[in-house]
Amino acid sequence: MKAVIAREDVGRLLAIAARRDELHVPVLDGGGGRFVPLNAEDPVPRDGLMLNGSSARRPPKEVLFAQTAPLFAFELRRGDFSIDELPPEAATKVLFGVRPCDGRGFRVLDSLLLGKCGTDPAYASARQGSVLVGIGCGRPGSDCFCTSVGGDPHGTDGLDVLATDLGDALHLESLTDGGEGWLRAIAAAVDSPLTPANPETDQRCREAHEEARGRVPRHVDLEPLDAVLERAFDDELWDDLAAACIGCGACTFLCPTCRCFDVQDEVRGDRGLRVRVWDSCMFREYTQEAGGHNPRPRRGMRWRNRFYDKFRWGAHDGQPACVGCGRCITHCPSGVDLIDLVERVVESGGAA
Amino acid sequence: MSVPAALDRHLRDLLSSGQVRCVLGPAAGCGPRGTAHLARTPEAVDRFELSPLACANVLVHLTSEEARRDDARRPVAVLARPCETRMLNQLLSERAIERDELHVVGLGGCRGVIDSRKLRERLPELRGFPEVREEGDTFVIEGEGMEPVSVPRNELLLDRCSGCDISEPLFHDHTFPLADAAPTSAAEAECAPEPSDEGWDYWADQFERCIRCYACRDACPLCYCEDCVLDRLRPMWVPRSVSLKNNTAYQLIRVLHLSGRCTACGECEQACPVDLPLLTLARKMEQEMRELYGARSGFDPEGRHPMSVFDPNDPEGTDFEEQGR
Ligand code: SF4
Ligand code: SF4
Ligand code: SF4
Ligand code: SF4
Ligand code: SF4
Repeated sequence: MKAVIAREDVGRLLAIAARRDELHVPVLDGGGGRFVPLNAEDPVPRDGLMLNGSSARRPPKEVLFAQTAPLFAFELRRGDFSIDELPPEAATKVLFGVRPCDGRGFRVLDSLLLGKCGTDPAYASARQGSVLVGIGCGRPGSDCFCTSVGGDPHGTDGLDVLATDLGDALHLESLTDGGEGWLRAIAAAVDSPLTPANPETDQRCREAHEEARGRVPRHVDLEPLDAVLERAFDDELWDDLAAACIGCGACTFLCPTCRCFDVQDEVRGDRGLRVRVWDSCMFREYTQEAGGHNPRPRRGMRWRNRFYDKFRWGAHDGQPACVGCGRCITHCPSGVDLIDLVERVVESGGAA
Repeated sequence: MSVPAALDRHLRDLLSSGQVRCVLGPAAGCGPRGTAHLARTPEAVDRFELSPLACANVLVHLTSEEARRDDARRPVAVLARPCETRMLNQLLSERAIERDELHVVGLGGCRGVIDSRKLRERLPELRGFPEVREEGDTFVIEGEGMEPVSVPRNELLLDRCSGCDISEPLFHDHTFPLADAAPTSAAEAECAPEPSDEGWDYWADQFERCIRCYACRDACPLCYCEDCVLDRLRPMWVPRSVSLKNNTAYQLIRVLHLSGRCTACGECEQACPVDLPLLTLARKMEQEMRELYGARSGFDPEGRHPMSVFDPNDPEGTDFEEQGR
């Protein structure tokens, strides 16, 4: 199904969507933006809604793959140990305004968290029935390079609905059964502001897609990379590449496809909570063993892990696990540039 | 553009004579921002860059885990702006580094550096690392495929620079002038920490947004503990879970561990990927230390931390005689 909505009516559409499901939208928050829940009673934030310019700094990953997910509570009382399962979240989640790179990011998350190694219950219940309504990027951000990693500013992979900004209106097109169902339900609401698409809006849509593709500012040639990574693992180059890195979690926590987690017990007195928390391979204590042994004692080795995850181990369906959102580049406190690193790895040719 | 010829020669000589094993300083990044660069060979000196846009957290690499492990990094020469010599003083007073391991190349006549975030916001279409010229009270930015743009200095200066009252290195082994231009007068700078009327609510809003990426800690040249309390699992002082409570505890511990040591360099704020106003916290702490103890970190390489000295006349100290047994 295709439909068009006037820009000034987007608020009405969101109000209808919020009545039906648990709705999350990207808003400015003083820190570059993130997805927040929007209740039906809430006024739609007019200026804060991030549908025009570039992506929210914090990707929508955290809505479905929470940074902190309580798994169960436990208690020890007079020698009795009891466990309280925490009921999974039931509501269907609709994410409105997902950028195409972030949509593809969910496919990378799915491949691990719903993959053949088992299912992460917290993620599975949040992801179940979720609807990702994408918004194309008319103005890609300063470090975007989605077109180099198999994506596109109006790419559809991983999304259920794609919205294209036509200036005075949004053009909506469903891409999956879930998206179709959601769009039909919105159209069927008594106060629905949707109008049917027509050949003219279709044409403007195609033009917008073409134009945006040309505006993606950065490019990298990944063609030669895989062959180099095949032999570069033990190369000394990684310590050099990581020289400016301070080993923080900014790049991995802002990455729409980083999905490492740790499971920890937070205990107070006789009660505790087992939680799943994000982890980062850039942290020193990442996978450090109980006896103290650290399999990646040097920063270069941790950088290598991230790099191989993005371009080799995490790759699936022939696409890298990096979706080219550029966040890790723009927001790295040390000016480490992933594209520059890819080029330097390729240039090195790997170990002789 | 790289560094002036005389400085270039000096750095190459240091390396080729073996007087130092490496040189640490700022270089141009891929985008409109600087990055730290470690030169181990005379040829690698080419990459250094002293444009006001090439501001990078250089000193954190003196005390990083790699630096501690790596003997091939000592002795090291450091290109240091005046405020960075203040941080070096603090590191020396804590004996985090030793004076004889360090060759300080002070950069004199500093008029401040550019905050790349402010620049990006101002010129979102900017790509690559632009040329920057200083003309009186403006920066002239010449980016790839762009007409030169003049922006008033005070719109782009890093926050720490607009509160800075030192324009010459506090100490050095060698010094080089950055520019012919007259240094900014301290009078023009605003030193007062920004107070916040909303008080606690304001900070709760800020801490709530923290994603606990630890970049503020990792970026701090003074956060060099090998075993950081914030990483501890047993006992777990601050749970990894993000919540207002845990984020607040994290931030308060971080700031308190820096009280009297922090030089308000602002690297924590620069590092924060979600723009928490951490320099405001740092300045508040600095102000308290000055008012309570008359202490100012980083001005005395032999200085002792106010918390580590005993003064019987401490107005808030315990009066042992009065207390009796
Ligand atoms: S690459 Fe940058 S963001 Fe990532 S850990 Fe290193 S310093 Fe932090
Ligand atoms: S690695 Fe960087 S550019 Fe790639 S998806 Fe992650 S944050 Fe985006
Ligand atoms: S990388 Fe592509 S899809 Fe992602 S925000 Fe940039 S332009 Fe949009
Ligand atoms: S301002 Fe921040 S980074 Fe600088 S010394 Fe203080 S706490 Fe550390
Ligand atoms: S850098 Fe910012 S987001 Fe990261 S832990 Fe520090 S305050 Fe939180």
